[in-house]
Amino acid sequence: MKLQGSVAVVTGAASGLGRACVDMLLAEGCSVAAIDLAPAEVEAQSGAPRLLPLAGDVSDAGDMERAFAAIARELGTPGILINCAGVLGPARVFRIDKVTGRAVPRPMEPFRRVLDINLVGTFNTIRLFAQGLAQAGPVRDGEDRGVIINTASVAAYEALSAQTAYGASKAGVASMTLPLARELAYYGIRVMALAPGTFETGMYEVVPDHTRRTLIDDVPFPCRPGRPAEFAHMAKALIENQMMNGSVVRIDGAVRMREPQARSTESAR
Amino acid sequence: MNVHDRVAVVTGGASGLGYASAAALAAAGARVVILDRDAQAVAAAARSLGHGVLGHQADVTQDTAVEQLFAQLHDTMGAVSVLVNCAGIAEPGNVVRQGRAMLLAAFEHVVAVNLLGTINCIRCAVPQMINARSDAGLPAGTEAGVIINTASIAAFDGQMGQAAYAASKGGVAGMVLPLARELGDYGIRILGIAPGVFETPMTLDLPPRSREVVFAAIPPFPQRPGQPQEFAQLVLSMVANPMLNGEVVRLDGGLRMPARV
Repeated sequence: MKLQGSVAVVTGAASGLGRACVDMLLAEGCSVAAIDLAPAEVEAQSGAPRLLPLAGDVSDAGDMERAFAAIARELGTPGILINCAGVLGPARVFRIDKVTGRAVPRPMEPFRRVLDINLVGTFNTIRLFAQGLAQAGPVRDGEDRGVIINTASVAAYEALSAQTAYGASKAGVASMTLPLARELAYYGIRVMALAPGTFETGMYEVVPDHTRRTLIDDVPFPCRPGRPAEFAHMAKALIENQMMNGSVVRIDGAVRMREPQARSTESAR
Repeated sequence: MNVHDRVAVVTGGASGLGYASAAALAAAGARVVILDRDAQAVAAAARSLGHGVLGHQADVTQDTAVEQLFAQLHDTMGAVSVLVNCAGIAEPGNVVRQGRAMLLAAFEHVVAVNLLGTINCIRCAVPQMINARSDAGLPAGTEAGVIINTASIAAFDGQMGQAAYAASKGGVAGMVLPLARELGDYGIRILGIAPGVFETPMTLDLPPRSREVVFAAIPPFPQRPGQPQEFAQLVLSMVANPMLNGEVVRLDGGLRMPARV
């Protein structure tokens, strides 16, 4: 699918991977709807003419319905959707009560919130994006009409301790790639997912220093965090290559995540 | 990696996926060498590719000959920076057919070309990449080379009659991560592409019944076989993006092969 002249929607657009995708899409000549909880910043930073910043919570049905109505009105039917909105958590399963020394369950809320944003939020924009393109009926000319790129994570396969919610949400994103591709093929919509390793984003900055060092030391090559522009580069490659469909691509410098503690135990041996 | 002026070797370069990859790399400014087992075909392909592409006859299953060829390329052109392994064969056959077991040699032949042939070229290219980086005094963290192997979706969903082919491609897919781990310190990235059904001489020249089975598998979208140029497009994307490593990427329009048609 050609980028030039297409209408694109990016969620999580104000920072990190989403922000890099917005920059890439604008540079390639797309009109871009940039959705985030706080979209004003996008406007201030980019100030490009074909940019439509929209405020909204991806996990909220009404918010996204309003956002997609505004996009259709202002820019036309979108042909590209890149879902980057996501949160890390954390969501541990239990804690030890300091007074009694007994294990007590953690509340359900943090777990549910991660699932709501990362998984339900991804599906929320997909359903509205697909609805827009489906109005034209089945694809007839064999050319793709739309591309969806979801952000999974290497945590979909090797989530660390305290990433239960994050790992589950990203595994959900990864697993829905194939059935969505199968279902939406009828309308000429391709569905792909990227599974990034450790990237230089706001999410990564909250990781404690020692954990961060271990995460990076483990990357075979390049031994550094990924740059958001490299994520956007791959997103562009997926959009442009029509044979890419229904699969999840790791972009991680060959890292396979392991518990930081496991490593210190190993070196102590 | 910017391929401009870099030496790129493409095996199986006289036709199909290899030919298209060579064309794309040459257009991107790489100094391309194609290898193929058929001397006439490889010479003709190099001529038609233009861009100063060189062609050499090579059988990837031959240890010494391939070693000598890579040494010769190093002397005449400089160190190899990009290796794209496309040399491969598909020889379908049931394990037992009409009560008779498949000849072990038939299985071994497919594995020898697809799997051992791939590692044979890798072992010859890697030292050149490592030495060139250290000779140039480039710091750790500098990219020394990119290697792209051709697996197949048969590595994950092989059909009946594909035991040998699927085993060989599964091996190609399986060695991508350990190689990336082993060679990461030297700045070499290893990737695999797992194509679905593509229109290449390999698939088009299958026996009629096998060809029918292969091309009967229609991906969700696009509902057609892949074109070699689309494979080459992914090769260029992979070479260009430094964060891609140790991963086998399906390129199949969403196709998952059924057990049989």
